[in-house]
Amino acid sequence: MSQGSTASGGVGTAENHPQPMLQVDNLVKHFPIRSGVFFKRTIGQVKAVDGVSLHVNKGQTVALVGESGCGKSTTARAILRLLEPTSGRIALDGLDVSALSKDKLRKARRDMQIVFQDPYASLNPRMTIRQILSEKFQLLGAEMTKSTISDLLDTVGLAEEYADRYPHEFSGGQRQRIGIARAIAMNPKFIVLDEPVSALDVSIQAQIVNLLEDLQDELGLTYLFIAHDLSVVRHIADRVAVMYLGAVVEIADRDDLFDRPHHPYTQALISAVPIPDPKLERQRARIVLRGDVPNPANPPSGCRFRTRCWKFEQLSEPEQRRCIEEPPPLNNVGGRDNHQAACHYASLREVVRA
Amino acid sequence: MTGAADIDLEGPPAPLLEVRDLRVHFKTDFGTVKAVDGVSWSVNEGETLAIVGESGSGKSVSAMTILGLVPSPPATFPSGDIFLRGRSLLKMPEKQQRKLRGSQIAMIFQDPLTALNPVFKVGDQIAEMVRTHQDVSKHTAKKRALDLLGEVGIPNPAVRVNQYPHEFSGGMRQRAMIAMALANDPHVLLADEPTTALDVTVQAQIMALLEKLQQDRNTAIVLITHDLGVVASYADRINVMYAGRIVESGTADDIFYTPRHAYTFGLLSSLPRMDQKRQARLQPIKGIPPSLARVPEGCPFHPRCDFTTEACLPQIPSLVPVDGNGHMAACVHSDRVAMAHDERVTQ
Repeated sequence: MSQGSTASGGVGTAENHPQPMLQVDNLVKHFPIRSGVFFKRTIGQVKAVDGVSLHVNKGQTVALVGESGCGKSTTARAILRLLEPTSGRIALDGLDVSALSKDKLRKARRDMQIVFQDPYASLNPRMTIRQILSEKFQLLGAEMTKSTISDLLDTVGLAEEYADRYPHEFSGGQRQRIGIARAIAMNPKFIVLDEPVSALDVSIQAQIVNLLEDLQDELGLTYLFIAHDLSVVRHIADRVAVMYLGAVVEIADRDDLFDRPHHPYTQALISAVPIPDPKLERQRARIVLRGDVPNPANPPSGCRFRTRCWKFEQLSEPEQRRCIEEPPPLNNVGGRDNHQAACHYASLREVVRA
Repeated sequence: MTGAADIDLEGPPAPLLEVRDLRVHFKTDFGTVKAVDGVSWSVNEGETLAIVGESGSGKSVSAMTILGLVPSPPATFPSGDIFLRGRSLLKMPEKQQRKLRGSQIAMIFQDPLTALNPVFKVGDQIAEMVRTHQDVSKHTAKKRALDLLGEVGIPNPAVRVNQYPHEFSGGMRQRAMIAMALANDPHVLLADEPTTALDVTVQAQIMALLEKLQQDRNTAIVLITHDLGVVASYADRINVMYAGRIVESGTADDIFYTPRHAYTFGLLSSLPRMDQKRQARLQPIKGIPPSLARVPEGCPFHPRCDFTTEACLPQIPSLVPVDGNGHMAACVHSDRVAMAHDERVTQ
């Protein structure tokens, strides 16, 4: 796949912002498939991330959306080098993170943090909240004052007296607040939010989304927001990248993506999300895709989405051949230079209200 | 139906399935957990009733009770009864109850991987379900399993019928679960978060399948979910649950366009909408849902409610009609909720 070769993969609006906070070029993460009992041979590669390029401007939120197995979480982890990328370049505020040694990487980690999806699994049950938060300062070698922890808890809307309790004493929403406190403790520049509200109840979800937005305004944070819930994405993101089977298939500013989607997969994805409005739902036509996501160890030739594509079925045979033989690059669509889609036959189809 | 219980489903005009004043309590060290505390609802052929609520609201427990999946002890049932076409399920002998479960009433669970047995072939598990309720040969049962897998849209069923659950994708496992639930042509399908573990494009496939099966067989579906989007698209009627009780009940349009309980109103206001330009801020409900062992006095929602007054405290508000068409709410301030909703909509 050569989708990373289109330098415009996400640089569309970069002119107004001389240097984005995060710049990712042609990121690749392959996992080897090994076989054999004593002598492990590599018999294939799972191409979890296969040439992703995107950028996030200072103080903005870019959402990475897609279904399970599309590589969105792997992308985020490779960006933070929690997983070592196979190839590609990652620059955080001008610093080439992909080339850093272990020592320097640890220092750089102050600036790049992550909030995990499951607040039950990501907090050590044997440590108090104070210990969990202090550990961060010790590991990264930062100064702490007496009021550090209470200030931090106050920032995320928790009372100071909670500091000496254990994670099991908190509800899901409160635990997620602790996860956020841990992420912002070192005053980072950039935070990956990996499905931070997916495990929470609706009424709590809105509290956490508001908190994340407030922190972004107050601290000037830059977010990469990983999500599968498109309603939350429409609310929180400035720009949205849609991934399918390890590659970005469409990227655009938020309203552009939802109101004018061009890639057939984006259209199917948006149309599949039910909207809490019965009258609207009765008249909406849903694009129902066939089958399941193919095995990323053996992706289809040409366009990876073609095996499930509703548009592919409507094409003539010579047109279909193009989808089978030629991987579509990310090209500008809709006459805009900040909206790209990777489809040979990309065209507008309204799906939110139709 | 062969082997099914001798219950006359064509009988007198009673609701197909009715739950009346059901209470399910659990005795724990921290006090009595009132998981379900006086819940009544009914569902008819071809109808989809949604039970909506957050985690711990008790929405799954009433369905589990219908299928006898709530062990007692620790559970106690201080009151309530369940009627299938007017006949009490709970007063039947255990043997007869068991005949009805799985044949007349079937259930689909949220997580198909834990609901399927990993060491048996999918086809054999479905065939077992057929043979439990019908007096047929192994061969016929297996043939029926094959047909069912085809019916629920599993490609290449002749191969799939001999595979194990781990060889199926998440969407296909859920289809296999549905096939198993349909094995004995049930009249009522209880679907507990049937698509929560699935991706949205697969969710659309599964819900389309359930809709089609409902049309073909006139099945009643009880859809238990927290997803208000799914509810808006598929439910005919909705019960909103909070802290073990139904707080509002009505048609989908009633609930979404004229909410009359402060909790329903709060839920709708807190939702981000994919079809709307970004609101400045979401409007969350403050606080967290109560522990069912310590439900607040009076209206259980009052500590989190923006409409609370003294009037909310003396007793638990009962579910009363708010119009003449079956829309009910258990809120002292339903008039003020109505005004607040109108104001929000016109904004």
